[in-house]
Amino acid sequence: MKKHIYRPIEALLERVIDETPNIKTFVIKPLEPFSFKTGQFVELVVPGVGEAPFTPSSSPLKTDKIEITIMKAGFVTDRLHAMKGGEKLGIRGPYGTSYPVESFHGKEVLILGGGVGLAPLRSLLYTLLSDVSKFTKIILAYGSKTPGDVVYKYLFPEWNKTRGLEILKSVDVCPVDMDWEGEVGLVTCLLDKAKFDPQKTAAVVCGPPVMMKFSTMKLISLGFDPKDIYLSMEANMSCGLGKCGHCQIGEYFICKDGPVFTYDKLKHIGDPFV
Amino acid sequence: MLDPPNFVYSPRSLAIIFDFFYPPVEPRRLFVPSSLRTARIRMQYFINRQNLSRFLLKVLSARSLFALKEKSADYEWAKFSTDTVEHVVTGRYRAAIPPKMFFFPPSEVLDSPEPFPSAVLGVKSCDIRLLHTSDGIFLGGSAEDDFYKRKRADTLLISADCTDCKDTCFCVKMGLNPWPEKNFDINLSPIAEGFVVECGSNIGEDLVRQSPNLFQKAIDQQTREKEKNRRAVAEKVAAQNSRFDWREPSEIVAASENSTLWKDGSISKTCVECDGCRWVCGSCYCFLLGETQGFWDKTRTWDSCQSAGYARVAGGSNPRREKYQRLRNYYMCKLVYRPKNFGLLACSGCGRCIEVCPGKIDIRESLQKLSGAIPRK
Ligand SMILES: Cc1cc2nc3c(=O)[nH]c(=O)nc-3n(C[C@H](O)[C@H](O)[C@H](O)COP(=O)(O)OP(=O)(O)OC[C@H]3O[C@@H](n4cnc5c(N)ncnc54)[C@H](O)[C@@H]3O)c2cc1C
Ligand code: SF4
Ligand code: SF4
Ligand code: FES
Repeated sequence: MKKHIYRPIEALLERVIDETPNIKTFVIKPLEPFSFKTGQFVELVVPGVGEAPFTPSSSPLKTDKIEITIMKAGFVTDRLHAMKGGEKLGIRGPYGTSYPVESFHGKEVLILGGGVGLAPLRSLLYTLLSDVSKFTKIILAYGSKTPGDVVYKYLFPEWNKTRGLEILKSVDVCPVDMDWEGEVGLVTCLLDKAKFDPQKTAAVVCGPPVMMKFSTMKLISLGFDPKDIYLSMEANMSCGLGKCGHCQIGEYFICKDGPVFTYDKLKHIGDPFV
Repeated sequence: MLDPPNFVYSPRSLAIIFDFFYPPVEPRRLFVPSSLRTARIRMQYFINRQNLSRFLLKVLSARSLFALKEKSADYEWAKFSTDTVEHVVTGRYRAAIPPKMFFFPPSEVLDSPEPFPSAVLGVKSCDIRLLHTSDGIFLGGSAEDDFYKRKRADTLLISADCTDCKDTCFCVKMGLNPWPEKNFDINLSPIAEGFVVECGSNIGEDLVRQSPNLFQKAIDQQTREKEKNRRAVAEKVAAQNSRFDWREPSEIVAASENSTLWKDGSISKTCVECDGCRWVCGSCYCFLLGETQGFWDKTRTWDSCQSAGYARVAGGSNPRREKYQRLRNYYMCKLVYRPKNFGLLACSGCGRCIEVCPGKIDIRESLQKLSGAIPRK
């Protein structure tokens, strides 16, 4: 089989973990060596059906398998959600920029995630936790729609015990029949609870465009330097290689120049989040 | 035509399938593009009509030949054979469809890039600029696109001067002349008795040298005639655009990003979102990858940034929700972002988008309106 830039490598779907009614985590074993840096994305291929971009949620230090947490959103993701394990998949990539973890050394890291946006941040979190003494403090602030929409529920007890990691959670609404020990409000409300020094903190944000917009505005108003706000941009993608044009905003190709950008690089673009 | 039964398209790609002007050329798999070949000091030759046909027969012994065929006031690309080679024309002006589609066809299966030697004759100055812009995309980025590269590099580009222009032509306003100056293998300049020939690459030069009986060194009178013809066409193009006084399209568009003209003014008002301008433009490169049912082979189909769902993401957000934002993006892409990223205006003034637009949107008029919206220096 001849290789070319759009040709995926084969992979086996080993296991599917239910997270929420419309989010599942897919444990995938690539049949050829495959590694990525935290923040980079892959194109996951359902052969004969289609492909879509996703950011692995597993640790980049684990190279035999990758985990990807996927929300059911349409054509390809519906097919993926119907899978049980054992199916053949394809993977292209990794593509794009990654989180500059080394530049966070000696700093506080504020991770701000919304919804399935926690997926790429979990990969970052694993990377930070593997070298936790290098950071002054790690704060994970996570917002979801309702308590039922929280992903990785089974991991929080362990994360709660981790030294140097502070966890804050919020839900937009809490239905009366559900228990919730976190905050109720948009994820930005967590920024009022968390204690950090904006001058010494790198903020990493990932979530739906509207969440990133209001989070960025809030971070700026709290005194963050636009160079210290890292955004993982959402875009409609097809090739992942800076060719097909889909992911363009302004002069950037998000797949190649991003998806990780500092807000400083994006601020001249009218409204990069809409 | 474009919908072989073994393809599976996502709903979105189904929406963009079109049978617009497809396929005037057969799908083919076509090595270093002529723009990457080194140029030599130019020697000018002369060839008469009959000898040109003989030369093309030689070309045909090693390559497929695609050239222009007259069709009412337009030219279309056609495949020529040893039997029809005498009917090859160089074209008074550019073809209705840009030569991009030889290298980046409207739909193709991406299996394995294979060599396919061919020659394209009748490429115009504006077309060469357009090819150069698509080279930026397909040969640049995070990796080279093997499919485009192979086809492009294995194709001999035989360009030709324009001897007339269409009323939509405005190459001179985009910093070009209506005759090719570089990035071709061989260029033909029609004169009364035949053609003045210039070689723009080693490959072109070698081919001409291999046929010493067909080409003579051009004499002064012939090169003077060529220069005179060239000037006449350039003047005609300039004259028909004399009502436009804008310069520096990049600056105009960049400075008027927030102008109300895009939305409230008449720029986007008559756009019916037919995508016609995108399909005919030789610098547009957007595509969507689809799957074939044969494992791991992909299909690539042209896409258009003018369609509403083009940039919409899974949550429903859309960076260019409104029609005027999409139309503005098309001007920004060609005139601001691509010069920023690739150092080259991605509009050559070929006028194809003007010709095809049912809303009568004329990029020259739009630039005229916008140039009034920004303070003059
Ligand atoms: C860098 C990056 C990382 C991502 N990581 C994750 C992740 O970890 N987990 C996750 O659940 N989702 C992630 N997404 C979003 C995910 O790519 C989309 O949900 C998915 O592409 C939808 O595909 P579909 O075929 O199921 O939907 P479709 O049926 O094609 O369409 C449903 C909707 O999604 C839009 N859409 C289609 N294709 C894309 C595309 N390629 N990118 C974005 N929107 C698209 C359509 O316009 C439509 O509005 C990521 C997106 C990007 C750009
Ligand atoms: S934008 Fe219009 S005039 Fe410019 S190159 Fe494209 S089709 Fe030709
Ligand atoms: S735009 Fe210029 S180069 Fe192109 S066909 Fe018209 S006159 Fe010729
Ligand atoms: S996804 Fe194709 S250019 Fe970015």
